[in-house]
Amino acid sequence: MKLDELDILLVEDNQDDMDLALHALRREKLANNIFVARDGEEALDFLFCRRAFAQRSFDRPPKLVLLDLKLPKVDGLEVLKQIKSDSRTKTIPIVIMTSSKEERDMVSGYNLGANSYIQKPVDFDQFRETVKTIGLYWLVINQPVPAKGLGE
Amino acid sequence: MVWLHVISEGLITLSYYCIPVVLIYFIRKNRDIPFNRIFWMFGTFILACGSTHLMEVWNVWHASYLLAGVVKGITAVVSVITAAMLIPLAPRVMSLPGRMHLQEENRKLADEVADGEWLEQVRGHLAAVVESSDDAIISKTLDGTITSWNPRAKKLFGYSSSEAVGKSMRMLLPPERAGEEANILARIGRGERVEHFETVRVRKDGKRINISATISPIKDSGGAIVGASKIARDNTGRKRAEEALKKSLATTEAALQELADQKFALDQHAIVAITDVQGIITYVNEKFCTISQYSEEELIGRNHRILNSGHHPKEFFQTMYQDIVNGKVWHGEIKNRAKDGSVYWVDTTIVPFVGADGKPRQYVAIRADITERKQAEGILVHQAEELARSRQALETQTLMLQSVLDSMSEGLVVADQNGKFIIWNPAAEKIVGLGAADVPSGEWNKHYGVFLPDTVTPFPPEQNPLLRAMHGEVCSAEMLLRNAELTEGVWIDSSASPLKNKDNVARGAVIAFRDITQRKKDEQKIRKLNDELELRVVERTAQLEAVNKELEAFSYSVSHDLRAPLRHIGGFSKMLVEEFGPSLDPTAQHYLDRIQSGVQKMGLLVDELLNLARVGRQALNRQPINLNSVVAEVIAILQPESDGRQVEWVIADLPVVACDLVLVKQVFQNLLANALKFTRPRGAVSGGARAKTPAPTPETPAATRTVIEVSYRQDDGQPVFMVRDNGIGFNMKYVDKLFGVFQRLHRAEEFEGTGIGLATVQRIVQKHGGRVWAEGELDRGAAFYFTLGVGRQAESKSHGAKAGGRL
Repeated sequence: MKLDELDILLVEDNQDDMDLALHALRREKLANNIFVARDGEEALDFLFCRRAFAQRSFDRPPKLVLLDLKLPKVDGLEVLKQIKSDSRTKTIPIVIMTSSKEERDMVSGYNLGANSYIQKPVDFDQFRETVKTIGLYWLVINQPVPAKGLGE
Repeated sequence: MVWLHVISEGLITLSYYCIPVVLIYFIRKNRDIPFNRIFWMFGTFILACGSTHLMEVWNVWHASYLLAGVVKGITAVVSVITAAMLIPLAPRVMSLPGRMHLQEENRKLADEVADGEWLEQVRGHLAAVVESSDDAIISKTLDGTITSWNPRAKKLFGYSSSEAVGKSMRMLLPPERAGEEANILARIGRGERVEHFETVRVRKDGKRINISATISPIKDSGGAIVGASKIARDNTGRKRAEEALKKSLATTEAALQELADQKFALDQHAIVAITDVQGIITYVNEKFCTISQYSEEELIGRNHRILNSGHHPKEFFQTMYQDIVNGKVWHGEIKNRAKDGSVYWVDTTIVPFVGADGKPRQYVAIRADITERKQAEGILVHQAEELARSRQALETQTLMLQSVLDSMSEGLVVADQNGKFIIWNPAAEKIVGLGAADVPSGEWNKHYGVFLPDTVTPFPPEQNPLLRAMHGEVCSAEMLLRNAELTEGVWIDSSASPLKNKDNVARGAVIAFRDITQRKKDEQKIRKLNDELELRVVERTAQLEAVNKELEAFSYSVSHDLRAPLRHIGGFSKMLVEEFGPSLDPTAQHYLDRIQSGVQKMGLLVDELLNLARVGRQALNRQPINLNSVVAEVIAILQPESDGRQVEWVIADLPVVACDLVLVKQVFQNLLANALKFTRPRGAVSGGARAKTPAPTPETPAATRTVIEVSYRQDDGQPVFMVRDNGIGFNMKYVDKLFGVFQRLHRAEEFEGTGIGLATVQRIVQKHGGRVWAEGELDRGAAFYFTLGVGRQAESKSHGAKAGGRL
């Protein structure tokens, strides 16, 4: 998997959720290159091209980050905060996809610059539909920031 | 011969009759003759002898021997008595001196007069006579100089003996009779005697008196006239009576006329009535008729009782009758009643006219109308009584105020405009520890030990509330008293105000104060308790916050952690069905369906539980909300639920109410969703639209239209909202269970649900300070009512709603 040509960075600690999300995404054939970070730290290392991902370049960010909030090590909101407060990463679309419908989390998420907030529906059909819509929108419909604009 | 007898007897009779006449003359002329009784007897004897001779002449023609015998008998008795009296007198007649002898005696007497001793004796007798005489006896010289003046003279003329003796008699003469004395003295000088001379003299006090005087010359031993003695008596009374009589006799005619005039005048002036001794009215004048309102005819012949007003007691009239019956004039004031019943007062004088026998013949009553005076008196009496009453009331009030002052627990002190204490009640003394002291107002604070609330700074003298009140200020102050009597210090709360009289002039000031030491202590205690309480509240709040955080963490984890496994179960089972379905046993497929359904239910349950928890946590955000638009929005959301059904929505015009939009929307959503759900048997079209909709049970009545109504009414000033349906309703005996969490009245096969919806409704309504309740009947529908309390912003918009919501 070429980490520099990534479609989606999925930040998800739960194996089940991960499998379901991957299943849904692949079924809709929306994303081929999906990297899964299993905790907040790994997600940050990946995005900030550190440690295991040092060879990665800021120039080729993922097209979309699907971020869970409840994460081991570094919390999802903290991850969001660091991404959005760094000029090299702040233009990356971040969609919070979480089980929580807590207003608190929603408000914090948007305040920290989240591009969207999605609650994972319990119903699998709905879940699949939701994932499909997100992928369609961000990977196909939405125009990302031009590459040269990055890092300014 | 007969005539010889007759003439002789007649002459003898005449002669006899002459002797007693001569004898009587002799006796009268010589009163000093002794034995005059024997002369009387002798005269009678001769008269009797003469009468026997007269009887002899009578008998010549009438032969009345019995009469002649009686006369002779009387003569015989008289002659015997005379003889008997004469015999014992014979020796005494013999001893009487003869004329010669008397002359001798006279000469001797003259000698003796010359002798002083005898003279003194006589003078003593005379002086006694003069002194005790009832007549004034004055002696004077021929030139009128007074030489003696007896006590009676003093009484008559007013001059004492010492004042009169030596003075001239002229001092007693009135000016117009100045010549009279000289005239009298001239007559005396000629030896004449002036008898019963009536004249006028002037007393010492200047009063004129009428006197009758007899003046005789005084001769010396040689017979020469040397002076005069005057015997005088007061003649004034008699004189006047005589004059009056004379005058009255002379003017009888005029007097009668005058009397008539006087009567006329009296009648004009007075109320006059005459009654006889029986009290029967015999005369009334016109004024009497006027005042009594009775005519003369009505009064004459009647008793005075006709006028009795009943005002006077019986004794009053009894006394009056007693007086007049006894001839006394009675005077008094009588209250009478006139014919029309009105009363009048008369000042009455009743004069009994007494007859010759000393008994009253009739009574004349003269009256004057004094009704006005009496009324004035009555008013005066009334005023006096009034005065006495108000005085008594004042005293009572004063006593009452005094006892109030004495018994009140507040200290009360009054100072006059000079700062002198005029009231200092017992409570004041008890609180201050000291009584009223005569100290200048500037030193009050110092004297009574007044301090500012900081307990150490002396209260500024000019700030003393009583002093400020004396200057016209109404003020109050809290201060500490600490003096020799109050070593512990006493807190007082005082209020003072100026005292003004009715002309608004300052008359001093009053201060009332209470001992608030205990209150102060209590306040301190309360403050301490409050501080402690606040601390405890802080602690408790911290604890609560911690608990709350835990709760949040719990609900967070519920939402996050419970939902995740559910999603997984659902997701993987779905994947199983999709990827391996065709190869699976139909029973396995059915089980997988059941798993899917369970997951769905549990997902709903978790969502609603979280929702309920959120309602409790969220702050209320009241804003004026147009409920009609809320209801419309909710109906739109619920549209899928009513798909394929005929639902009639009856939505009233709802008011704008201050409430939390999100929460109230939730309320309507839950209630309307319920209404739709429980009316499903009504308006259901051919089934199968949704899998979860159970088929109508056989006993459900034939499908009718679903009617859901949203309306409101004003109750007790606040709007009561109602959501009513014509669904399956409920049994009222389970009404208490409706709003409990997880409480359901229907089986899940009949109507899906979590049992949290109405609990959420109740929580939202209560959060608004409102109330929710339900009414229902099985198969007849249900109605839910709720209020939303009263928010401040809603007051002006919710039709004059009262403050405070119902809980």
